[in-house]
Amino acid sequence: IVVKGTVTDTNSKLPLAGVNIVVKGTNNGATTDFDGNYQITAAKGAIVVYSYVGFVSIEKTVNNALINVAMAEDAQALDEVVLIGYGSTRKKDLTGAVTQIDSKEFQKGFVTNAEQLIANKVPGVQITPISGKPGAGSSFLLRGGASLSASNTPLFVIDGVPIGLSDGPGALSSLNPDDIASFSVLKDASAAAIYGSRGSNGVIIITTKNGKSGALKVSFTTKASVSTNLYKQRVLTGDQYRQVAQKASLVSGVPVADFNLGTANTDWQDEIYQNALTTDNSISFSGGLKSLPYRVSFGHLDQDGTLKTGNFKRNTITLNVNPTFLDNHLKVNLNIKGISQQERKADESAIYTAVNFDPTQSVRDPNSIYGGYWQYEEFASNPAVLHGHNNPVSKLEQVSDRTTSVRSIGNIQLDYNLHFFPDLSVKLNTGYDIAKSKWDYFVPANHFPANISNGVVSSGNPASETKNIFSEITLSYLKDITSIKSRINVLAGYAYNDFKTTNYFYPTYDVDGAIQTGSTPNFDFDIPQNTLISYFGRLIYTFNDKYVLTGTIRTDGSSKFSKNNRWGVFPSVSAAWKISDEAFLSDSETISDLKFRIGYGVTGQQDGIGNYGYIPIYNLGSSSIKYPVGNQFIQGIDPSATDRNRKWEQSTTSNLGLDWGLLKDRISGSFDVYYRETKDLLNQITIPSGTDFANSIVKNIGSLENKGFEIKLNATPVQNKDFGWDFGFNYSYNENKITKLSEGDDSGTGLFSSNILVNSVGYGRNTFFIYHQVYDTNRNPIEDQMVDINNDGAINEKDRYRTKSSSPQHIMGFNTAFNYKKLAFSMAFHSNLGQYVFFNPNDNLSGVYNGIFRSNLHQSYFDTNFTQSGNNNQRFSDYYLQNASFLKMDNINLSYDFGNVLNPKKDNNNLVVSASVQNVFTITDFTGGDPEASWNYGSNSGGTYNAPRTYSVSAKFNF
Amino acid sequence: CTDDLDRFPTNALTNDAQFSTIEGYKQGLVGTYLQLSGSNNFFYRGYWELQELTTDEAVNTWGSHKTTHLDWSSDHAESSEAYTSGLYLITLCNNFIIEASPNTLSARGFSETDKSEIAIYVAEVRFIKAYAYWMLLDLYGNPSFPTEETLLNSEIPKQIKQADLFDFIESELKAIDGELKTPRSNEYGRADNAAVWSLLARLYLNAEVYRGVPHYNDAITYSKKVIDAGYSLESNHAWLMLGDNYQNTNEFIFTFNYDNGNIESWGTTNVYALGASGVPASINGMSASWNLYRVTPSIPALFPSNNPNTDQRAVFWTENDEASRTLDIESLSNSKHGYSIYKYRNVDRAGASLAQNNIYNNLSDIDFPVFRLAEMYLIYAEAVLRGGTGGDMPSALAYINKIRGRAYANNPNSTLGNINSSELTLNFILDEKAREMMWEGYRRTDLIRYNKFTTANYLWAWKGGVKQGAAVNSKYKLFPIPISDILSNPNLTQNPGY
Repeated sequence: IVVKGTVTDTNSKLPLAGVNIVVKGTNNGATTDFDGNYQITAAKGAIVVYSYVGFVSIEKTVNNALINVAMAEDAQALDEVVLIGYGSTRKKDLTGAVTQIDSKEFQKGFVTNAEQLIANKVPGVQITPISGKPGAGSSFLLRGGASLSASNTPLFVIDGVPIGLSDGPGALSSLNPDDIASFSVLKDASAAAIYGSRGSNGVIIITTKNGKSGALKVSFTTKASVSTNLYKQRVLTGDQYRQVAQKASLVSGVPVADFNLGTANTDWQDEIYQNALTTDNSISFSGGLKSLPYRVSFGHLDQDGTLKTGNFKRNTITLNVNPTFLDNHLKVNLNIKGISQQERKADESAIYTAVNFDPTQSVRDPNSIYGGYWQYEEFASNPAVLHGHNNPVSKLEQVSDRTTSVRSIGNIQLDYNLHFFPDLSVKLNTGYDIAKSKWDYFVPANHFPANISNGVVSSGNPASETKNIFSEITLSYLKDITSIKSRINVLAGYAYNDFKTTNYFYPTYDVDGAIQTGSTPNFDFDIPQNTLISYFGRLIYTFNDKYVLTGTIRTDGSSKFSKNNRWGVFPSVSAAWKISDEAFLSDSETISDLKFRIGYGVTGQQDGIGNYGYIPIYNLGSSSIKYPVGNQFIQGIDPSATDRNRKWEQSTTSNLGLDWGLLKDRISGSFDVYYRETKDLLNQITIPSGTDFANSIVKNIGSLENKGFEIKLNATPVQNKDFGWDFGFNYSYNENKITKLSEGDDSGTGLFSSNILVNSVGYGRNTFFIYHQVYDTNRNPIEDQMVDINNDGAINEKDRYRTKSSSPQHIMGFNTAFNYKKLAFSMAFHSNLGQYVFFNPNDNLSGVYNGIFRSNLHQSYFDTNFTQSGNNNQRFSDYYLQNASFLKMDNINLSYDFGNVLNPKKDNNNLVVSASVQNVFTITDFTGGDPEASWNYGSNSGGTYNAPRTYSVSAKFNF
Repeated sequence: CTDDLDRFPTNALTNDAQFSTIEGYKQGLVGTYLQLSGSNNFFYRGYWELQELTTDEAVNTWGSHKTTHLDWSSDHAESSEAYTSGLYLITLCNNFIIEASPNTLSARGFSETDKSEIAIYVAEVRFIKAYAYWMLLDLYGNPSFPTEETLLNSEIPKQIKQADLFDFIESELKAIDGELKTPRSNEYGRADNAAVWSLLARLYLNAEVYRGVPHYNDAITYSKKVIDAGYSLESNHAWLMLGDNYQNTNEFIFTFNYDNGNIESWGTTNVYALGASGVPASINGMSASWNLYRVTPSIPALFPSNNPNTDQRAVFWTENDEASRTLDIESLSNSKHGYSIYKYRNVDRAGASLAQNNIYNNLSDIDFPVFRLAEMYLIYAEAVLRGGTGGDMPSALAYINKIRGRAYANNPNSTLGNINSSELTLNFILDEKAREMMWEGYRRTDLIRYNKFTTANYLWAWKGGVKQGAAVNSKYKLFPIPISDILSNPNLTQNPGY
């Protein structure tokens, strides 16, 4: 008889298109159309099988001519597939340390940058906002970082497009978080080695949402928020400053009148910050046109910075279509993303200037010829030393620094399952990441001290053009050989990646259109480029569904190295044992999942080191310096420092892991312990004077080891009809030690990475190297007196000692969510313990009369009463080293699902309204501001643009 | 398609491309002059400050006063910069010498004419290298010693001892004597053979300090060679440090050249002009003063009065409103304590400011004379007085009186201001050198040679950190080797006392 019917989704009640329907035991088949209807001829009593990817298959016996079928999503099936390099695998076949985070687990609340969706969710991955600037990305650090000077950023693969590492976090901030479906984080070498030279810092595979067959679904989200600055440096008020100036005058012998103090009490930090508004709207359409599943989305973000005048606008459009052809033998997946960004940058140096600027002066001065802003006019003749020290408000309001960019990331994947040999498939993945930017910079003629140059008018159109392209061809073979209880999954591939950017250079003009002397560039453009060519293979062998062995190998050739050092080989091997499937556990009520993993692998690193460092080259010297010889003016040349023997940095990682689940996975988690050794470290080292054309150079020197463990725990303590409670916790511990630094004697101090941070053998990366402060009987520090450790009568570098590392040892994340009926409430926290920060505020009187500008002091002046400038030793005192351990509440979120209020007749629509606060509070003893700010030791104490606190509301409509 | 792995920079050149033409070599040569002259760095400015701020000739207003107090430690940042810049310059020179070796030139197919021209460049670069090593010898005594082999073989440089470095500089200069252009025949701004002799004369004058053995005969020999090479004093001392001082080719032996439209740098003579405290734009020819440098009372005391009516070199700035500036320095931080010196002025001989062809309004055209004839006169006279042979007292007196005649009458042949032979003493030479060459970067070296730098033999304001002056440890005759180099180069030992 002819059987007809409709196939729907049990959940959404929507028709399902493209469902496979086969009469069992025959070749007789059909598929559902766009409306979920089908028609098939089958004998009465025959069994018809309905199957659809991601849904539980259903079998029906033919009794009459109408069979309507409702198919349920196979939660098990969805969970079970995990993305790994160049494909996916069943979770049970996974042998490496891989954490997959799906949208259900994403950070709730207001998120403008994609990576914040998973911040503090993945043990071993530290994701910290780079700054509070709108559109700024985050820094990533995996398991303490593999490198010293090369990049510590993981490789990002977005919908199959590997993104240039140098642009990694930037690529994420150009994504609309609402488009993202999942993150898969490959942490250990056995998982990441398939990415070879780009895998040392882990790999983060990101997939965006794609279309599913069925009727049109629309989702609209609108969000609004207000952000406020959280941290201010505690500096002197105008009144305090006037008092301190009296003392400064006595100490220095400079009359107070020469300080030209004002009468105001200006809090410059209040003057530069604002409450910043952000709106973020996005809409997506998904469904199927005939058998063509699609998803289209648009997003618009308009974000003000807490630093006045800063603004970031982002428009995104994404398109995904994933049709199948040739009886499902050819799967096509096309992804195109378009991003346009407009940014007005607020000059971040205004923060440092506001901390230091004279608090006795008013923001505005009616007599000022500099646009009405008060300025240090007495230093107008000295732009060289004054540079940057002008009124911070004028820096923000007078300077217009705008960039706009457009970017597109796209790829097409053709996955062809051979008709004559269905176990074998060929996949071609090719795509691009192109971008173009321009900038406009304007400073009016009355900006101080640019008055001499009559303003600055500068624009670059285009400023730069990036054309990164890649192609991958992979051949995979998947076979279940039931006779020997084996499953074989083999992959072989070739990849070509080319990264090319063209930077354009332009002269600058004054406001009258005249070219500024010395601004004509040497060249109109420069095209830095590098290329990577790779061959790789992988075998996953599963025996009896319980024992899994994985081996991978990859060889990479990079244009960043000379022919002799160009190719690197990166193997890995790993195994897993699914203990819970063994007979002695398979019936256990308590233990629902138990898997043991072990792996070893080699990964490489070649990013963050420049494209041509192995080639001895000469660059044309500055165009503004032409030496007069005879009657000519001759431009110089600068030879570059060269390391002809530069090669791959290489990491080997061993990983032991245990995945477990109790009580039907109500409680589940994983535990990983690892040991990673990095050899041939690409290291920015201070080289002996006279050996090359630089004070420091990146060389392959030394070894570094990281060891630690990670715990992830998820629990659902309560789950019933009305009430649910979920709890998540993760903890990572990392110990970092440098084991070798030079070819020869390693007993010396080591290599400085800043004035106070040193890399020494036997110690952690970036260990503080400072003096012991001497204190008086009242436990107050005595100015510039340090302990003479070696008792030689002199205080010198031999009296400095190595103490804490600047990296935290313990990192924890907690999150919890409650839901009662349609009300949901969630919170997220994270905590770093054993973290130290050297906070050296300006606490001596010399700030008041240092002449270049009369800088303000920190309130700590009243604790120290330090008076002298040029205290070389004091700058390195452990008095300034603080324990900066903290607990932060990152997020609190409340939401209510109003259900199908939009159209009560249909239940495929709903409205969810939520309110949240980001960066809620921080508990810490640290006194210098945000303990997580990036510290640039020795230059910018108190000058960082901190992530703000954000209050937001949002509404999401699905229909 | 693994050929795609050969990627090269777009605008930079490999060494074979850079040095494929004689113009490429000249660019390399000019690169060494740029580095030496502070046109793209603070090397010479740093050197000048180490030579002046440690003495009675200058104090500075801002920042640390440890340099003035003669009270620095091994992390003395001010001396560290000059050290690393100097060794960078030596590395540039080593590289040029390698790239210009006879075999390399032949391999690159240069003609014999070009080869002989490049040979002159090489001789100039070796001179510059010797000059840089002399600066390191004078400041640090026992610096790191990179050679061409260091660069060729990526070796870690050895340390050289003061006496050995003296011998090296002497042998280098003697080896290139005659290979540079003859005196006064090279392009303006490039060193010639007279520069080689001048440096030898200066080296030999200080041989007792550097080597422990006197070389006054040699000092006389080489200063005399320069004196006899056709130079003469310009007629007006005030012309020496003006914006149009490129005209002083009679007296200048070797100069660093600056041009306000072509050299954008804060490491040149503009710092000596703008740094002079309180000097207004109408005098220095650029803009108002940076209020940076003043002079201790010891220097005005060497002159008959503190205005240029008698000795025209007494260019002391006492402020328009004289009451607001004091001769005495009660506070180093007070920019009005102490007179300053308006010797460097970016004006022409007629007194008009030079047009500023840059966006800063503060850059200098004043060329800096590294060697000028007056120094050779003073070396000759001092070496004769110290018992050197090959010269004679009457010539010494005649040379000194030329300097005096010019100072008092704008005429080297005038008898005004002249001294007689009984007045010609070593101490007179030291004082006369201060009068003639103050703020030209000589004072520290001279005071060390006279054993007055660290001892109680001579005290000036704020020497040793006290206003009346105090003796300090003799270790301060040498600056410390910078910690960064001590830590990165295991071959180095710190100078005694640090």
